[in-house]
Amino acid sequence: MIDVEGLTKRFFGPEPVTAVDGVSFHCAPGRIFGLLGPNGAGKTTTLRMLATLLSPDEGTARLNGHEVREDPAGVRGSIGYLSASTGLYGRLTAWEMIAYFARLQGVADPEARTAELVERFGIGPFARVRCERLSTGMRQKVSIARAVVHQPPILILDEPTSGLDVLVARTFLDFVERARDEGHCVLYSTHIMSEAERLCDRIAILHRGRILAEGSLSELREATGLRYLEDIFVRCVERGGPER
Amino acid sequence: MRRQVLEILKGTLRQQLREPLTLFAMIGLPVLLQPLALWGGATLRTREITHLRREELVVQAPPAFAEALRPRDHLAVVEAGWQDPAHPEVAAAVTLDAAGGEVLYDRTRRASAQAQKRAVRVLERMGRQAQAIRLEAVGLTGQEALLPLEREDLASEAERQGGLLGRVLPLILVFLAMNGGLSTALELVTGERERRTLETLLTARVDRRAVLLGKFLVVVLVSLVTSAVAVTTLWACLGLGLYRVPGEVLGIPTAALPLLLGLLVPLAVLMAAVFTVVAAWVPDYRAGQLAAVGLLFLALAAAGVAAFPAIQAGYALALVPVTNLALAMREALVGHYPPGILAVTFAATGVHVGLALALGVRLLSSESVLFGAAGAADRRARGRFGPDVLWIFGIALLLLWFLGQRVQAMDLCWGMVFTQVVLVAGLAVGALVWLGLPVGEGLSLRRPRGVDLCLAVVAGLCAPGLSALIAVAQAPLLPVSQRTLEALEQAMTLDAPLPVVVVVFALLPALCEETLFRGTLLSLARRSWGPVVACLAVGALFGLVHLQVMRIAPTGVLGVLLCVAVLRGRSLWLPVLVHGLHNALLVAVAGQAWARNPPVAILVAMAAVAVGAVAGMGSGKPQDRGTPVILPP
Repeated sequence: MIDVEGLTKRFFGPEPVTAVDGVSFHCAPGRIFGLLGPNGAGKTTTLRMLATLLSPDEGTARLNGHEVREDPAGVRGSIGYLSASTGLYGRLTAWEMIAYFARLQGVADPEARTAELVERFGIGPFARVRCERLSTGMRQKVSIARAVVHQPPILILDEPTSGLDVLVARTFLDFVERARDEGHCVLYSTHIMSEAERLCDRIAILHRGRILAEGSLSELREATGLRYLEDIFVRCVERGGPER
Repeated sequence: MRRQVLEILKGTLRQQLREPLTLFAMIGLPVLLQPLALWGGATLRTREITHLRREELVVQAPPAFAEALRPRDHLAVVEAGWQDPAHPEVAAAVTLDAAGGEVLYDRTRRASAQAQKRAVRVLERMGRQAQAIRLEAVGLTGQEALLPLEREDLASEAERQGGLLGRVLPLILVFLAMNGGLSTALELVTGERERRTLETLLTARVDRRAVLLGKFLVVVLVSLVTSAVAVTTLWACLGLGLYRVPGEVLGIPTAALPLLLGLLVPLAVLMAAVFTVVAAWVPDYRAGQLAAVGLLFLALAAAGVAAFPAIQAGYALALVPVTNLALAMREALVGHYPPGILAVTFAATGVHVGLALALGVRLLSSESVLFGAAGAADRRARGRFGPDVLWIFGIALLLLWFLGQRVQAMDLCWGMVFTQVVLVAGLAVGALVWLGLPVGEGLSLRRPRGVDLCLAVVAGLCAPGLSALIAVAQAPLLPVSQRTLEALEQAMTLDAPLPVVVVVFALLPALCEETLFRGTLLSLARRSWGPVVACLAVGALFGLVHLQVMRIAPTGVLGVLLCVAVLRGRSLWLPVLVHGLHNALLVAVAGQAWARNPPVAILVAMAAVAVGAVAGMGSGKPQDRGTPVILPP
């Protein structure tokens, strides 16, 4: 479902940097692939390349059979992208926001689909309230509904629980698990170890743009001899070399 | 894509209309402010006129002038005091002698200007009386023998009303169209980027052209409604007589209203296209507001052309953005509707809008637009210097217009030296240093081959033929008055020794202008656009920088030739030599009768030789393909 091979991205700012350096991984349908790394590791840049917002300098990435450079429209039709910033239009109501994206994504019956999502995510009580007046948790619910409005087979989630309180974050993690169970391929970026431990079928530890280690949690434990993901992560970062 | 454009238009418009400030700026502001401004302006103006009419003004004049005064002249005469700080009440001075009368006054002082008008009226009356006495002395009767003087204004009421308004209304409308559209464009593109909603939108399955077009159409609507409401309110206010000032006629003829409103459509569309592109281009909202000031200045300068009655609407000006629409509005207000010029105006505006939107789509696909400030450094590091070419040229234009011309007005010779060395060459080198590029390489400061130098001499001696040929070719489309030609010739025949003139006005501009255009700008442009587009673009900018419509094409074509010279010969000294010889020849032959109308056949031959010589440069050695410079990590 997601096949990434040698993905590289360089930025030539005041301090030129290779933000993503030859990253490769694969994620199958009904699986959650976690990108784990500290701030500045290259997680967001990787996800932005997969969401066709950035163009890779090298490498290929194929999502649901569409290559990011050759068929960006096909990629965008296959993904639901969600980042920590909810990206909602403040002057639209929750209902209008979901319906707007349903129409943009070409959903056959936007109003019916909106009603379905409003029901599913418990948005009903605040569906007619403008997004600028919603709490963070409510906004995140609307954001999720917006991201899945066109029933994409792939979900790209970039640190989606940042800034959420424990209860809202927990609801969100439940949603991600349900999405996996429904057969979605989920790419989940986070720097919160407990989330990765709970959710991810496979984890890639990203540091300074390079994947230092990749595998299931048990594989990583076996390879390092350590129990906790945090310890595994620190070991990988300290060694600094790839460990597959 | 049409469905997506409509969805984005509807969704964006819904958000905009929920913003009370947008609605107030679109409708409330013009509806409330215009009647107030007109009524207030008329009241103040009427008071001023009434006061001036009744006020007795003091002039310094001889007794003979005082004797000719009548009570309704409202003038008091003193014998001294003009320009004496102790007597500020003396508004003008009149002198009388055998040759006639003379009035000295200060135009900038309202009372002085008014005193001058009254004094002239008295002097004219004195002259008529003197003439009558002379005629009687030779046996002719007095008043009957004088030649009757008749004045007849052939302009219709509508033309008189529209004539005055036609000079200022385009400026007002451009301002209003900008006022409505620019803030909306910044909000919809720059604001959305800062709030990260643009990122959300661009991850949806939406064509980026649809995103840009949808937002562009919202800006068009806001801009159009703002200016249309303003025009209609102004028409209604003037029709209701809110501006009543004795002796002044101001109004929008009802017949002109439909065309005026029709012209608002291309104006709003053009403005919206430019704003959307600017909003996509600027890194943040603050930079957008700074860019708005620059845009406002440019648009008002272009529309301000309509304020000059001597500048007539024509096919050449119909190609100039904003100016063409401002002139068409002025013509509409006086009831003239030249269909050919209107058609060219609409067609040219369509092309301008298309180009702007194409650029906008490109910008919306670029990473720097989405993720902001690091974009410029990233873009440059990837060898894309297109925007830098434009801002360097913009700065050059502003410096030359505001500073260069003023300095030269103070002292032509030293002003020219300052302009060329500091403003032109200084900018060229400073820009390269600021961009962190090697100056020597950026300016192509290489030693040319001997054979190329010889070819440059030939090209330089024949290049005046090329620019003269273009001037001859464009003459039917862009007629130049004899006065303009004489002024241009006079500018080149200066009261200074020939060597000084040649150095300051021919060789120095060649060196400094080549440093900027064929050095800095061309070296940046070819990295972004490739050699062909870069030559054409830099040639066009070289034409534009000469700040005269009639010189754009001749200097533009010469500019392209000079670009080819540096790209083929790989040395800046070659175009410097060609340009210098070209200028020196023009200075040397200026004022010569035989040089005014040279035979076209000779011009064609000279142009062919110049082009051939430049084409021959660099033969037999590999050409520079303009490899992009990547900054070291």
